[in-house]
Amino acid sequence: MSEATTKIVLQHVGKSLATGRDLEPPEFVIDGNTTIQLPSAEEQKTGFSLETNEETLRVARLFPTMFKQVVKKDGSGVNIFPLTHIPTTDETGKEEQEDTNSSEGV
Amino acid sequence: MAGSFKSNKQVFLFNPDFYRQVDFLTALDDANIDARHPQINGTFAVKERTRTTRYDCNDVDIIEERIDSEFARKQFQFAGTAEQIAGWLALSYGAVAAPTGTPQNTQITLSSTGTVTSGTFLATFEFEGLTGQTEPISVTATAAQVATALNLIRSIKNGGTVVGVSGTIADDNLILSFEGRFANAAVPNLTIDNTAVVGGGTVTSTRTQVGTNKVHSGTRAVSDVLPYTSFIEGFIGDSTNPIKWYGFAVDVIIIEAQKGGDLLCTVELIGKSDTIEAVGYSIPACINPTSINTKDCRISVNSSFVAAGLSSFRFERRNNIVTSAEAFAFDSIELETNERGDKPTETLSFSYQGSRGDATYTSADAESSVPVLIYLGKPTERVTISAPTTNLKLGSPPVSFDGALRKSIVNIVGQPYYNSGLSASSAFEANIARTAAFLVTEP
Repeated sequence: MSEATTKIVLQHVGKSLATGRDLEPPEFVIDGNTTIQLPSAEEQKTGFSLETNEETLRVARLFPTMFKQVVKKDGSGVNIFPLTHIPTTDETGKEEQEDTNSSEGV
Repeated sequence: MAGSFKSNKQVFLFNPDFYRQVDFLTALDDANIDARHPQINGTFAVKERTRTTRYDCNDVDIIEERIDSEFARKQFQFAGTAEQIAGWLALSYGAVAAPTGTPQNTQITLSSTGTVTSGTFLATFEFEGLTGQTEPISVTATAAQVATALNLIRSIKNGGTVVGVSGTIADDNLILSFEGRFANAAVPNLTIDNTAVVGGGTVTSTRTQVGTNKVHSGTRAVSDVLPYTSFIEGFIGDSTNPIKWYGFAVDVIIIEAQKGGDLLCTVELIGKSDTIEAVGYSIPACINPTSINTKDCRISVNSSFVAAGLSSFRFERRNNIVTSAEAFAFDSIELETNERGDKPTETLSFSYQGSRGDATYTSADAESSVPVLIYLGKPTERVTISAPTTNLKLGSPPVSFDGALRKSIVNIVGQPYYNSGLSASSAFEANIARTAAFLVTEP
């Protein structure tokens, strides 16, 4: 399986910075002069990927208290890493992964 | 250029929706720059130029000063609303999430456990470093009577209002709603002292609805490209057209307060030096802002509020926008990009009535890194700046004297460090009624 098909998955776990209470999933985030549209609240809560991993990681880097990074691993479910962790090849299992699409199994 | 410094009053017009330009070169529409910005010390935007001086063939006399590059800088200071401060913070940090949440007040329900026949109870309300306790309240009091007792205590009065909604303690449904400066805010539960309750049972307090407002989260952009804004400057009574500046990004934002006054915000913008004449533009009417008072601001250091004794504070954030040669095109003097510098900087400082040996002093003396939260405004409309890993140091001098009473003031300096939980050194959150996101493009 090629490296390009490994999708990074995020899950909305939104925590307020000020109060620590839960926040609802936002419709979009804005980074500088770019708007990144996010999927429905339901999808955000179960797990989602954006069109490119770069875009997904951008969202994770912007709001790490709001989104948790979830990475599928071949056959054995998911690994949940610290918020800012960028997974290594070994951790993603991308060499063996058959279907790395979207939020399946999250 | 339109406008002049005659005897006319200079006005600064902005986009109250805090839209961002679609790109660096496309100014906001005049129709969206439709509000006068409050300003205390404002400067007309000025062009800053670098020049090469050329001398004659004897290398003695100047024959030319050639402009190599130019950009414009605008600085203003204002006492404004939480929404205005949040808007400028959004432009400074550069990244926001669409707002979430449904506004609702905190509701607390009083009920009884066991047998309560008569007697009185005391209710204590502790909020952000202030604590107050009611006079004795009868267990048979109505909701309105309980609310009246609560509204007299220090931690609630000064703008807070508890409304007795309905019910009785005997029926386990005496409902209180927290409004005024607590409207749409999460406030803590009451603590009940049952010492004087008769019958063996107790009065209990339960937070049955947690207050919330619209939440706007903001953080430092991953992109070096900051959001751009446009504004108009003009003069009241001047017959010439106002001028529009565009391609401006926030370089510096300073938020500071002294005890007893208004919260002051200073903003410095950098943008393109060429302007557009706003033909046919009509200067909007003045609207007096409801500015944030210092008494409605709080600082929390390592989860403890520096409340009644807070004397002053200052938070400064700099994007250090690049204005050196690399920001300009090879074949032009115009600003080509307007990007954040490689090392944005943040600092904070605060002073409070204290002494050597208190917890904050001790943390600063040990140069510990602790979470610091700066709350700007009443809970119902407020902006919170969070710097979760702030390295504290004692100021210079560490202790000074303040006011007519010459009380000891501890001076603290804080350096926000990178925090892995934020992927930055600080972030902000606005809990305000505004429903539209900051930094969207013009509709």
